[in-house]
Amino acid sequence: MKKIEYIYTKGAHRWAAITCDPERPNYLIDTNEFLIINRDEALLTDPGGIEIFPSVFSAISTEFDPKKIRALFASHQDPDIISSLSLWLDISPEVKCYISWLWETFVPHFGGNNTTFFSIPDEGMPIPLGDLTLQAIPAHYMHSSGNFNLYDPAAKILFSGDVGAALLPHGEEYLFVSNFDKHVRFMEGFHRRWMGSNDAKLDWCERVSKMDIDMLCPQHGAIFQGPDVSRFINWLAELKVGLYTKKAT
Amino acid sequence: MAATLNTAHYDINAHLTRLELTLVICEDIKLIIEIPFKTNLIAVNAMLITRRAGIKSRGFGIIALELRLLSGRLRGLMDDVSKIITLMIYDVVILCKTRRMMGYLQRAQTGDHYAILDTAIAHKQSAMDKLDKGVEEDLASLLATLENAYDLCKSSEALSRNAKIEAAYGQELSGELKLVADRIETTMDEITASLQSLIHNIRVST
Ligand SMILES: [Fe+2]
Ligand SMILES: [Fe+2]
Repeated sequence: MKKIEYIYTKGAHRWAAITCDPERPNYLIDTNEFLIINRDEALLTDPGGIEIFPSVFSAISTEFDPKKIRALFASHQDPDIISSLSLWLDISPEVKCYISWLWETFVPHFGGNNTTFFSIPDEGMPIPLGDLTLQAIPAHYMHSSGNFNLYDPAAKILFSGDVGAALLPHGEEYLFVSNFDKHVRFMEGFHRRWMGSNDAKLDWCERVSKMDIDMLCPQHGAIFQGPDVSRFINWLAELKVGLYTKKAT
Repeated sequence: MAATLNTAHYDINAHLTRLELTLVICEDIKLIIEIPFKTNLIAVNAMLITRRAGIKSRGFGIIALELRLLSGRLRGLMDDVSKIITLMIYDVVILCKTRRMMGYLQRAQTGDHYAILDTAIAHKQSAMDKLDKGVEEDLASLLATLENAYDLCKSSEALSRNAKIEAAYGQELSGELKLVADRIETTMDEITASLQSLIHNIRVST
């Protein structure tokens, strides 16, 4: 089963990371889910694929009543992000899913109907949770064409979806990046191949570098904290991605 | 977890078997769906010869008309059969999907400290019960329609017998009429036999 651990707590405001399942079969990419709790309600980021639903649900349930998950945030449309949607709706038919307007007619193929989705405009939008206001931050083409990060200004945490993802070897997963230079090897290939546009990448780096971020939490791999956040942004700004890499090789 | 992940796929075996059976029935049905066209074809053939033979084959003409009527009724029944089997496949597929989704909920249930999955599982179960009932009803009406078709063909067996008798009165065309009468007999026998074996197979397999 997956593990759940708190990475931020301030009163009734908490962030819980639901991370690697040691028994996960190799053919499924490992994912991180983040539960943002404020008072008596919660939002779950990139709830994950249908196959890992039992593991995610069970892990959350050990700490928090899953019925109180009011909203799901889908950074984009991929199956590892949101194919479990119909199962979350089985548990709470009222649950809402925030997703880019680009995908609001695509993702219902995983479940939901015209009352399920809050569509996020290209420029992003505020997302209320208890007395918090989270912010959907544009990250288009990083890698999906309709792609968002989720920023919590009170906790200074940015959920970055696939940006910052690392494919850690099975059995060697860690929660926080402790050695950035060593960590690079697990994320370089991913970013070169999955990110298609250098312009989009620089646009994202510029936007995010202006934000006050203590922790950058990707959907795969490990969390960057403190100085590793800007280290990551600078590293990504320098990395040549997408078609450029094909020309270069 | 790896082992449990895999069992989710086998968990629904019973429903997958049911789906396979339904697809087999559907394939068999495709073979008999042509029946009305066959009967219609021989009816038209019989009518053409009757017209040529004129007054001498008036009796044969009546048989040809009867055959035409039979093919019309069979076409109606076969239309119903294809509608029912399409509906039945749809229901069985939904049943498989629901069972699969229920598997995920059941696997999560072991870690459900708040016991909130029970309601979701109960909903799935009642949806499945409803679908199950629907499939049973589809099957019953499929059998009833096929039996109707069988009875209709059985009661028309006299047609081929009479066709042979009438052919004898066809004077110079009696050879040709006899050929048609033989074809009526073979086709009717074929049809009755395939309906009978299809009904039997469905009964045995479900
Ligand atoms: Fe993705
Ligand atoms: Fe992903």
